[in-house]
Amino acid sequence: MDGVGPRGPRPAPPRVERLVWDPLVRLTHWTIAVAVLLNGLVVNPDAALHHWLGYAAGGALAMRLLWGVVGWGPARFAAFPLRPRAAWHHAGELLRGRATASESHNPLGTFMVYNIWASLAVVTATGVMMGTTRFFGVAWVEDLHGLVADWLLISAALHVGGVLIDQRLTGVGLVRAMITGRKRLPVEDP
Amino acid sequence: MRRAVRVLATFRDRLAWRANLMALLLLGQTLAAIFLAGDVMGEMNLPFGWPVIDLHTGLEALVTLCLGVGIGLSAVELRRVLERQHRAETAVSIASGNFATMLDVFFTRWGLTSAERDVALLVIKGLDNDAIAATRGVAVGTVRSQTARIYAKAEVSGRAQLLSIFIEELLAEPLVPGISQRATLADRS
Repeated sequence: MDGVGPRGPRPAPPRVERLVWDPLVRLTHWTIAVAVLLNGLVVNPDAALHHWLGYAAGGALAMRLLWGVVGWGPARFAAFPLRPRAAWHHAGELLRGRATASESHNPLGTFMVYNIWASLAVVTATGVMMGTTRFFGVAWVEDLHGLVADWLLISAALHVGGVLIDQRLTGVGLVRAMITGRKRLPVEDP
Repeated sequence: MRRAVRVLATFRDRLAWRANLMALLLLGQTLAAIFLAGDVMGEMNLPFGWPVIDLHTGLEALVTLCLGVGIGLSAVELRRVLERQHRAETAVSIASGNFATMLDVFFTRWGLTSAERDVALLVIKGLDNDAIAATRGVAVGTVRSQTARIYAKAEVSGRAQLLSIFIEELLAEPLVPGISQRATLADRS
C-alpha cells in the first residue's frame, strides 16, 4: 500500500490515517453528486422529480457553503484558498507524474471545487427562475440553465478524472476518503 | 494503559456517531428550510412582485427564520463535536498506535528474537507466565526461560522494572511530536 507513493531517493515516509472529511462534507458531496447525475442524465426535465432533486442539490450546496464558514478543519474555506500559482505548479507536477498529498483539496482541485459550486449555483438559480411566472419561458434563462448544466456534467467528469489521477500519484485513496472520511497521509518531519 | 485507551476509543466512537447524526439532521433541516422558504416566497409573491403578507404566510416566514437560525447554531455545535472527536482520536493514536512503535524500537535495540518479542508484548500486556504459556501453546518452563532472557537483554530485574522503562518513556515527552503538533495546527485552522 505504502509503496504506491512517489518513488524518490528517500524511502517513503510513514503514513498516519486521519479524519479529514467530516460527515457533513461527505453527506453534502454525495447528495449533490447523485442529484446532479440523476437530473443531468436520467430524470426527465419536465418531471416533478427534476425540481425536487434540484432543490436538494441547491440545499446541500447552501449547507456546504455555510459549513465552509462555520465548519471544522479541512472543510473550512480557509483550508483551501484559491492560489493560481500553486495550482499551476501542481498541474505541472501532475504532467511530470508526481504530486504531493494535501490534507484538504489540492491546489488544482480547489479551482474545480469552486467551479462546480459556482456552476451548481447558476443551474439551481436559473432552474428556480424557470418555475416563476416572471421568468417562465424566457429564452436566456432556459439557455443559461441548459448550458451551465452541461458544463456542470463536464466538470463532474473532469473532477472524477482528477481524483483518480491524484490518488494514483500520491497513493492517498481520495474516493475512500470521501466515503470513510479518512486519508492516509504521510507524517511530516516535526 | 489498555483500559484508558479503551475508554478513550469508546468516547471517540460515541462522538463520531453523534457527529454523523448531527450532520444528517443538519442536511435534513436545510432541505426543509429551502422548501419552506420557496413556499413562503411563492405565497408572498417574492422576489419579483409586491410582497403580500397575511397571518399564515407571516407565521410560516417566522418558522423558516427560526429554522435557519437553528441550522446555524447546530452547525457551530457540530464543529465543537468534531473538534472533541479529533482530540480524542489524536490521544488514542498516541496512546496505542505509537506506543506499539515505541515497543518495537526498544525490542530491536535489545536484540530480542521474534519469539521473545511476542512474549515480551504479552508480559507488558499484563499476562502471567501460565497465561502466556497457554496463549502460545508452549510449556510454562519455556516461557519462564524466555522471560528470563528478555529481562537479561533489557538489563532489568523483572516484570515491574521492564514496565517502568516504558512508563518513564511515556511520561518524558510526547511520543511522536509531529503528530501532536499537527493536531493542534488542525484545531486552529
